[in-house]
Amino acid sequence: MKRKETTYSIALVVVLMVLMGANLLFGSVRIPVDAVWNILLGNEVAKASWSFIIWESRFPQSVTALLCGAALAGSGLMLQTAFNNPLADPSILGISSGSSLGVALVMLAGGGSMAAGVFTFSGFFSVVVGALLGAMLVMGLILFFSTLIKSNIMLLIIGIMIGYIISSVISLLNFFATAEGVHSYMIWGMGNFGGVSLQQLPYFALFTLLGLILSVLLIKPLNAMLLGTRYAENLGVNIRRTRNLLLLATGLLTAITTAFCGPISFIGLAVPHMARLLLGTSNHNILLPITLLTGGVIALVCNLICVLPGEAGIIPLNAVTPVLGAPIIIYVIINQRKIQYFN
Amino acid sequence: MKHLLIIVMSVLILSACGGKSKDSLADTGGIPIDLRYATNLSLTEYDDYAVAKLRNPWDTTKVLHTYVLVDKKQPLPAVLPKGTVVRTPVTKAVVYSSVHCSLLQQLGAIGNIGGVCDLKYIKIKEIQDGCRDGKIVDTGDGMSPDIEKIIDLHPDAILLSPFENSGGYGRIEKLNIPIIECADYMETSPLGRAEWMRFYGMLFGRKQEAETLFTQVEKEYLTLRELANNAPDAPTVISELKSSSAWYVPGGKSTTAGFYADAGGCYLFADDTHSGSVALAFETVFDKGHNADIWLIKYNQPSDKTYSEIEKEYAPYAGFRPFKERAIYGCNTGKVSFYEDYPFHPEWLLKDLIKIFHPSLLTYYDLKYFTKLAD
Repeated sequence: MKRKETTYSIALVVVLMVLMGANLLFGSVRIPVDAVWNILLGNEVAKASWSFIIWESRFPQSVTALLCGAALAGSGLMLQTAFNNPLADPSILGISSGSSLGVALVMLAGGGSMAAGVFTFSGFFSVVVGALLGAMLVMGLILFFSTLIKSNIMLLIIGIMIGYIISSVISLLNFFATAEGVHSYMIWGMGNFGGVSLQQLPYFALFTLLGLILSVLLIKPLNAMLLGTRYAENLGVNIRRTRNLLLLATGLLTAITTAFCGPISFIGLAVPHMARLLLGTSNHNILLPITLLTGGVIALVCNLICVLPGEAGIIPLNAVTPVLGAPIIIYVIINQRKIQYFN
Repeated sequence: MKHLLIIVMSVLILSACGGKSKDSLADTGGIPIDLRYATNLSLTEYDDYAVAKLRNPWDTTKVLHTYVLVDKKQPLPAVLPKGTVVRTPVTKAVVYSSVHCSLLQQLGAIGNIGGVCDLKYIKIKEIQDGCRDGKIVDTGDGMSPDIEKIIDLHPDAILLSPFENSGGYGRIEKLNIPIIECADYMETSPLGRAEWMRFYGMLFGRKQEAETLFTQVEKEYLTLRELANNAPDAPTVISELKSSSAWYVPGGKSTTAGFYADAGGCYLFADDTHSGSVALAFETVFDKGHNADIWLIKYNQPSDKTYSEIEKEYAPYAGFRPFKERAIYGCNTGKVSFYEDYPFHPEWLLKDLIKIFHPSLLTYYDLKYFTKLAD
């Protein structure tokens, strides 16, 4: 058993490296392989614009995709375990809807900018701030409800209800907004790994890694929760504190990814299932790392598919992710018994 | 086998032609109005009526709509060609767009507007006042107008913009009120779109005014274009900003590209074949446009954009030459009436563009729509 896991981990890391390379190599503009190699080594190339494209556009975009994929997949897995529900994902608790609401307020009601005290944010920056505030607001609400409610299922239902309320507010905002606002909100909703610039990348990476480290620290209680809350409590796990920490980790990961990349669908839902299919176990000691790696791989594949049309343009991200994700979910539903779920 | 195919084909083609000639038989006896630029419109005048044929811009082999304009004061002729009969002049129209409202204002026909949609976009004082006093009815959102208010108003025409495959206009189609499909926005040349004012002039009994206005617009536009075309250099131009994943760039065959060419600019995406916008990746635009001379952006926000703002938005913007050399011009469409003006006054926008591309040609002219971005 141990050998299989090591093989998978090594294989995934290799695939990840290859995909990183491919993401740097392929884009809408054709750049020869040797030029890309020289740029990465820091040498001069024939066209200075190529080096700008690689460093300012492709490199941050690939790293963002990698981190985003890992973050979404990781929070999907944690939520699925915490709520004992195979269909839980970051959007289900309304956290990503909260981000959407923040963005909708900025784009549709605020005319693309936002004033907070003496600071005035505008453009993309205000979008990021709006999304973060929105996600944090919903996360706070969920945490508040979690102090009142003990049952996980009830908490899940509350999350879904909050999501519905938010989506109706967004419809209202959309209805009364300008055509330009609706258009830019729609484009944002299609997801995009290209939103993080090289300068913002360190901050983005820092917060994402923080969330990921927090999730790794939660492996032990997660495994205990697989036995059910009663058993977990018997094992000395503080259920409420664990749940709050889980919400904090997933909330942070969802908020930061949605803020920069938009609501990316399906990765959070589908990737944990892929990892379970691959491993045939629910032991988080190995499932979580494999889920994170698979998440990165899938996100990089999606990012690569987006630039397939080459010179002719690009495909929106959220048009790609479900095509990869939905068949997996269908497979899971059909073969539910074959997968090791919560044991 | 090959011969048979040719025979079958030619029979089909001939029969198709035959059908067409029969159809156009009704057109005899009319005097066609010479339209010099509009490609999707034809106007023919007869003794008792006029016929306006709108070609379908999305399928140019088809007719989008045929209107038969009959003077209100005359009795309805016994024999009329097929089409929607509109009694002119229209005196109580529902107008969906601010563009057409402002045209009617210039033609002196603002009193012929009975209702408007999307009032918040219409910055014309008479209409805002009219709506407040109840003389003009605000019929709500253009995408789903308040049908009861329209029935109550009982307008004699509804002017709206058609969309491709929009699935009809819903219940307002069943009200038996002529729907004027303002497909002017699908014209690709600036003067082609402006020429549609001659049709709207006929509808509202302002034919002469429209002719005069168009002649004036045309003359001014052609003079300016001539001036720009004789300029010694053609600066390279890129436009717009990235929105999320995609950079929507005006296609090479779009009206915007036509404006850039007429103003003596060298648009870097001119060899593109789209007549609308194209969604491109950042790197495609950067690859082609990082050395451009001029960068034009349009946006709608309360305060004007600045260099530091767009750099904060997306740092790689700073890699473009027009950013480094401070050659970005912005048009804040929330503050100036850009979208309201340019369809029927293309010469105003052209003048702005010429001033930007060739500052020496129009020394004493101040920019009307665009401003140089501040740091």
